[in-house]
Amino acid sequence: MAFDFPASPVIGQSTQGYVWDGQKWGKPSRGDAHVAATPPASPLAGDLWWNSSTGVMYVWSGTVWAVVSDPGGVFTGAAGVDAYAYSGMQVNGSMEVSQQYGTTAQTAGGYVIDGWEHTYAGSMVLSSATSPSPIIAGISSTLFTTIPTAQITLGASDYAIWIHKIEGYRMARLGWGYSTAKSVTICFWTAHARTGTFSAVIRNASVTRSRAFTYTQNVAGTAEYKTVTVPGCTDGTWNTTNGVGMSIVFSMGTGSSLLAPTTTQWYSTNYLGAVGQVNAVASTADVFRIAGLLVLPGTQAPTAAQSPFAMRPYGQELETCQRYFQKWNPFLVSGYNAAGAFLYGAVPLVPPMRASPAIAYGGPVYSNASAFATTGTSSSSVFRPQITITALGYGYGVANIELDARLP
Amino acid sequence: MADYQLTASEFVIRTIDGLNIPDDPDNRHRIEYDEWLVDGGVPDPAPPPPPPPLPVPDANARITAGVLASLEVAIAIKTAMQAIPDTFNNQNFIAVKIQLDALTQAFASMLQAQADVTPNVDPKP
Repeated sequence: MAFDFPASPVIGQSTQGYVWDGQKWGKPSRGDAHVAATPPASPLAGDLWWNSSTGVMYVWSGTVWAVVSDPGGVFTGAAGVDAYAYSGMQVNGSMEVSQQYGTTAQTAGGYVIDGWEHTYAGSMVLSSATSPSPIIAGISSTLFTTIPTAQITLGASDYAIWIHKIEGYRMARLGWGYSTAKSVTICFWTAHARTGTFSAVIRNASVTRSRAFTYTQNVAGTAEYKTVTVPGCTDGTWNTTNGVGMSIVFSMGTGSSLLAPTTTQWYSTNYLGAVGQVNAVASTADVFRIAGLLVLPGTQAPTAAQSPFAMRPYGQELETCQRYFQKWNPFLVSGYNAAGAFLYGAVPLVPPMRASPAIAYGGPVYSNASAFATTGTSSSSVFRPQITITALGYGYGVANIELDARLP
Repeated sequence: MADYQLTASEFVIRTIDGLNIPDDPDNRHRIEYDEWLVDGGVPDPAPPPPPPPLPVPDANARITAGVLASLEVAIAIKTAMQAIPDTFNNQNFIAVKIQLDALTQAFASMLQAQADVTPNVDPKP
């Protein structure tokens, strides 16, 4: 049977399963890929079509164009987003690493999880922890604060804040303190119980430079993605080695004397929030939730759909956190010696820590020994525990050791 | 009792929790201690050094003591090992590894003690 091909075909026109390529009619091969704003005519099963107007990829099943997608929606590739993950200056932005307290809530001011401190002044009481309950699929942990004791009215100098400190080595690339200072882009998810305007501040170690920005919680308790770009600071002193480079302060409530009047300039004052900040410690029903922090050099940010892909893997994040804090549970020193003599250990710190760590020997248990102590010259790459033998013979000591070189 | 106590080494002890604080100006606890000093704080002096170790008895006594001490550790570890469930998972594996490490160190120490006190005898008659 003869085919009656059109006399004046246009490129791409198909008939009877043949396609005109401009010179001849030919059979398209199975599994062809097409890039166009409209689907190709007469596709064969397995053909791919990338919709150039929407960016959505389809595959021809033989009867329909099916979206190539993951169960959560249109596929958004991770390629390229990994640069965001690598470049992220934050530590434990995924809130997954909590070496010291796990998921046990803390009320005392100080580090709650790796890299995150809550601190407050006033009559309110905060209770904070990380939770494995995600507010957004793909980011498995959420940092949250509840308010066991509320403070309806804040004094002028009262505050309730989260602080995330970034080491100088990590942020030196921004070139702050120079006329060529680069912008920083901060991305995070929130699901605060209270709606309204919230604020945060970037400041230097000596708190002689600070700049505030605001964001809005639109719907109570609902995950919302926020991105803010802050122009670099062209003056002031910014640590570029192993000290505090910058601090990012997230405000839950800040007294009037600590609120920056605008968000459009750097101040030489230690502000902890911005004008308009809601009081999110005013009720015991308040809950402050934050997840998926990214602190990126420059002005670009991943989309909300991409942001989970920019979270570093847990193992990599843990190793990053261990530059600042390590926990060994249990740790053993043992050996044979005379009464009153010492037994020593020399333990390499992997990874080397930011500074010489302070060492806590928790819950020591001894056999024919006593008195865990630290000897020798302190170092960021090795520590030397010792115990004292009680009576001639073998002895040992076991303790839960915490090594603390966190940023001051 | 003061908030801090000096030691024989460069470390300072925070008395409330026994934290060992290094002499490193970048350590946040050292910064707090230095500020405390500036504010007029005076640390407790270092405790007196322990008495010098007693003379070591003869080799046989040391070896016997080492063997007995290691036996005690081995029995304790045996009990601990038997308490670990048979299920192979990460937690149990780590628990077994900790016990094996303790056992290894105990016997290494015992053998080292023996090596330290064994005369270097020429094996030939």
